[in-house]
Amino acid sequence: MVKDLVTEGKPLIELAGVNKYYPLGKNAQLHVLKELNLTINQGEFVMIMGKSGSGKTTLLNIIGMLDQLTTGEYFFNEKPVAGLSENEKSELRNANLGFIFQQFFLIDSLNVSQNVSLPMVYKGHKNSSYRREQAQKYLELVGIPEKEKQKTTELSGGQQQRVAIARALVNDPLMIMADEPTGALDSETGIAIMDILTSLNDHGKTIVMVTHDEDMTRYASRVVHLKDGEIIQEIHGKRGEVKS
Amino acid sequence: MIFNILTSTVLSLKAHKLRVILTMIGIIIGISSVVTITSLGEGLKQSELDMIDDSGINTIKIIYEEPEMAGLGYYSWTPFTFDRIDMKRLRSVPDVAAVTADYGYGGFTAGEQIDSKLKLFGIESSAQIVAATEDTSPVSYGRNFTTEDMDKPVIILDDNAASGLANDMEKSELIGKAVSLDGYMYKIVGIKESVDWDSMMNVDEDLFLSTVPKKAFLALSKSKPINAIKITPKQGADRDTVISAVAETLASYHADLDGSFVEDHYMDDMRQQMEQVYNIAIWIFIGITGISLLVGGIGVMNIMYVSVSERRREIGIKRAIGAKPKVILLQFLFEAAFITLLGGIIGIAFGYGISHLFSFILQTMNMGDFTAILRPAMAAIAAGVSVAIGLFFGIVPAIGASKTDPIKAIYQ
Repeated sequence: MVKDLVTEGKPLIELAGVNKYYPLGKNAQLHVLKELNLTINQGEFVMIMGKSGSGKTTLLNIIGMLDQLTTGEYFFNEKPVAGLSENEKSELRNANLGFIFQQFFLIDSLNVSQNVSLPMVYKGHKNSSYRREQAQKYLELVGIPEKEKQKTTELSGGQQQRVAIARALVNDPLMIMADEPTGALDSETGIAIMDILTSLNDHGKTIVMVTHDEDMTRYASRVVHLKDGEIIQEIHGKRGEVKS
Repeated sequence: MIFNILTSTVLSLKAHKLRVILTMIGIIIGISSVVTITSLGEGLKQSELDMIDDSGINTIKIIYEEPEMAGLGYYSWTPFTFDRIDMKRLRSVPDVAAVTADYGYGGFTAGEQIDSKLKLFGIESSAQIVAATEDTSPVSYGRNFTTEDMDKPVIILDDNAASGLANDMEKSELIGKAVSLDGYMYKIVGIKESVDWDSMMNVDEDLFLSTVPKKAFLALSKSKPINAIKITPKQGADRDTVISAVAETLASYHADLDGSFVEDHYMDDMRQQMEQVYNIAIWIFIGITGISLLVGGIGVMNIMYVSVSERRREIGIKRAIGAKPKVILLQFLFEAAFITLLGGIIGIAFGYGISHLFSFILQTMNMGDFTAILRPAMAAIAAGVSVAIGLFFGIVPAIGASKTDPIKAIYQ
């Protein structure tokens, strides 16, 4: 169902000398990311790990073009991100990135199908029946085709996360960004969600996931350890063999 | 894209029905007040204008204008008067359906009440005169009209006029005497009873009037000077063409005159002035009631701020999945405009209903005889103003929403 990437192995994300400061009142600032260098290739399953406050979510947000780096360089698919307007970044996010959050962040006023369709709306797909068909296709992929017309508030946590995954996939992005996607789920449901992400990665989808759960490393092809805004350890390997 | 945003706007509004209704109330009140005032004002204006039009609808009043008065457009004193031959000539002008004399400006026509002076042996008394075909008012002296009186110059005086004329005489002595009305002599045949002031509520209004027989009056008035000629064009005839044909005909027979024959614009001018006064009054009232719209608009702004702050996370999520800032801006702007448009439409319907109910009540209570009028253009303007209020008061919260930092919004 998900296209195999013909350009597997090509750098998708290139960060060089990235620093991120947050202002803390007058003349004070918090140095969140320090001289960070990271390259993520297409088809990788990268797990960013670290304790709370290590800067992992900030890094994910910078990669996802939701946040801006203070200094350094960022190339997305070999193109510089610096200097892009908000509109251009929105277009890039919409077409190339799918977001999955710990708290799912679905829109309660929309039903399941409408939630999944939303990125297509922003992409400019005018045909609503096409949007519905696509939404249904991805709901089938995540295993909840029958929930199409339900309200999101009537779903379990696991089901909501599946809807969020379907929404992240609906524009067939190059990369999925997941911020603690199993953090709010019980372990069994968490495994089911990870199985979906693993399967997507098997079909060539690049996945960058933030977690503090050591057990998750078995799903990754690379683990990046952050501490106080610096990469302290980076482990490559085959899935199931990577251990930090 | 716009359609998609509209769809998402409607879905979002459906999810917050109560808030939408509460926001709309201000706009409904504002628009319905404006529409009520406008409809009542328009109705009242139209009924007044119709009254003016009825008095001269489809008729053209032709007057003679002295050279020094050229361009004035309505009658000013001139030694020139029309005669019956002029009227006869005009009857053969193409597209002229009817020609009547207008004694106006000093004279009067049958059925019309006028204040006039009656004279008897040098004593003058003012009276309201009406030319009638019968008079059944009770008389205290003399008698009422008989069938034979109808072509005779006789008059029945009202008690007041009789008292004024009697001077040292008894009122009864006036019977049989001749009284002068506008230079024409009328024989007094009766004097009406005096008005019973104690029964003021159901007083016989004819008791206030002195009466002359219509036929006799018309016969006498034939020799009155004709100040103007009224032309009724044939159905479908071009007004201006008829006027110029009439003016040319008259000019050709009165080649010795320096002045010109023109249409009398007095009624038109009066109509225009009245319309202007009404329009000004209507706009003043719209201005006053418009204040409630301002309050409604501020309510919209308030609610939009609440809505934006409540839905910050939703904004952040939408931005994350690719909504451009302008899409967020349009979504909130559409919401504000949609709420106010819906409020406006309901307000227009309410205003229409209230104004009609009000004019109906006034009619049943005999306090006014007009029907409220809501012109389509006015309804369209009201709907447009509603949307404009939504856009005006919604723009600042919408800009705020579009500038929301997605990170702060998502992880609020």
